[in-house]
Amino acid sequence: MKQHRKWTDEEILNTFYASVEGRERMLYYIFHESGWRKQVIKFVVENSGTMEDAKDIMQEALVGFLKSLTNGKYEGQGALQGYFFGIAKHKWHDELEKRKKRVKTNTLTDKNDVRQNNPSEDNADKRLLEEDRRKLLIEVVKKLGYERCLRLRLEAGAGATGEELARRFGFKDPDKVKKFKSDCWKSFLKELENFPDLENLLLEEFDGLIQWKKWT
Amino acid sequence: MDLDDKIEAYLLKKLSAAEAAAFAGQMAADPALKKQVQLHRLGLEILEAVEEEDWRAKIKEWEAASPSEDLLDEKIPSTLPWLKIVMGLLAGLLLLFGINKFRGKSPVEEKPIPNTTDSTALLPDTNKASGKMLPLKDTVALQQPAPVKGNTATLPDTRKASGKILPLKDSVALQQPALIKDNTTLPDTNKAPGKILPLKDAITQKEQDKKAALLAYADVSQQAYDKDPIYQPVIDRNGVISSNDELRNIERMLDSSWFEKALPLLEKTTPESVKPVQYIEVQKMLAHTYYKMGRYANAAIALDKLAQLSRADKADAEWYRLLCLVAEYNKRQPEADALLETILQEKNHPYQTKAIALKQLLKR
Repeated sequence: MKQHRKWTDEEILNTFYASVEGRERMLYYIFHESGWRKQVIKFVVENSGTMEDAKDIMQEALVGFLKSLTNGKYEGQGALQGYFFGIAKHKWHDELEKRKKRVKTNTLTDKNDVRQNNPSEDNADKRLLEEDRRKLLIEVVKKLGYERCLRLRLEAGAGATGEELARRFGFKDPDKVKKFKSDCWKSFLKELENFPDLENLLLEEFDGLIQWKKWT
Repeated sequence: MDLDDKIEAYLLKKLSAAEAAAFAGQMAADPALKKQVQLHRLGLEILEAVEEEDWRAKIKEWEAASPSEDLLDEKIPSTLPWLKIVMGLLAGLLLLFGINKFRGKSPVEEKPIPNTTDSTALLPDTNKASGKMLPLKDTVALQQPAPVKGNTATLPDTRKASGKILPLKDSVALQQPALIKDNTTLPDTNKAPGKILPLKDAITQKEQDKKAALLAYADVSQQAYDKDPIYQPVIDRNGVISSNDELRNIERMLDSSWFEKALPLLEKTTPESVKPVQYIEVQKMLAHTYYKMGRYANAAIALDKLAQLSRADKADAEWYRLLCLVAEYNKRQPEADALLETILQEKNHPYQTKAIALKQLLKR
């Protein structure tokens, strides 16, 4: 197998924060060239997982890792590879907990007893709900048809300049990008406000913790 | 800062503690503002979901193109682990059965080996006589028959030849010397219950030499190439490429060795889509990309095109084309030798010194 040059943590972070292409490039590096994928797959397979489990965990860990970088959760606490592997291990632990719980649930008649007895095992359930919610939100975007607006906003958030956005989104004048970005976002929020299932989509805030209504 | 910006700053935790507390107070007193904040939060969450969906799609696409199974030295079955256990038990039983068969026969058949040269007294090598390879277990069984009537000589028990009982697999190996030497007729021993040699060990020295030579040629070519590649990304604001965003983008990809991503963009670039001088650069980029991806034949084609497009780059194109041919020297030796001679014989060819060094390396 072809050997790739190892990137330093600084290179990984700089590439990620540079642009949308940078994000994809960094993701490509981690997936194909870094050797992190092999480490995760080996770990899952050696800890009673199948190859399918390993693939799932790799995907979850990567997404978790990228989220940590975008929302600033990673603040330089240790080497990136260790941080990434920690996420993967945590995800696999959650998955094993979920499976154990499923076995227990099958032996108990009252499902509520399980939750009351094992509050710490709710992580896996939460993940499932998050996945449901993500799918629901994507459906909303498809229904409302604001994909172009959202992508432009995402690229702007990832550091694309006005000129780059104008070129990619077909604006002749970069100044018009800014106006479009602001106007389309307002329009999108307005549409959301009139969305029939809005009540089910809104999040509630309790003591600083944001929670999904369906979950609470 | 307008209200939208303030809401976003609050949600993204960009406000100071005092500002955030004041804003939370405002929200508590104003249900309409609270609703606005909730909508913004939902909007941001949708943005995150869209981005996450993109990532997941990308990962799935890569997973399909580069299966995880390839990463592990041994394939791990994702299902039916019990099958492996059952097979293991069966193999163990067969092995035990084999050993018992040998042990059970020994006292009866243990007769002195006659000191005779009578070839008829020896059992025929059934494995060779039939002209057909039998499964290993069958050849073992054929070589261990019941005592032959009227024949005082039996097949020498090679397990005892050294005065020491050998493990079954070793004794079988001793009785099968011809099979092991000649890999062209080597049966698939992996399928036999008494596994002797892994097939990979039976690769001939000739094949190994061939592989080593291939690697060595590629190495010679790459060493020469990497010292001075045909294309070196220079993110230069005033360069030929800088006036074209797409090309600058590709240049960034090449700068970070992201050849897989750059290649389709380069391949779709036409002479009409860029300036002539940029198209020449595109050919260099394309040749460089192909070369770096190990697609030497494609790189050679791009270099041919470069030589046709630009007379100024002809000498460069020839030299790098030669390196492409050398990387596949086993397949393209005549072509490579001819081009090497052309460069060596051409007066004032800028790559003459390098060509002499390359010729010496190839001789070695």
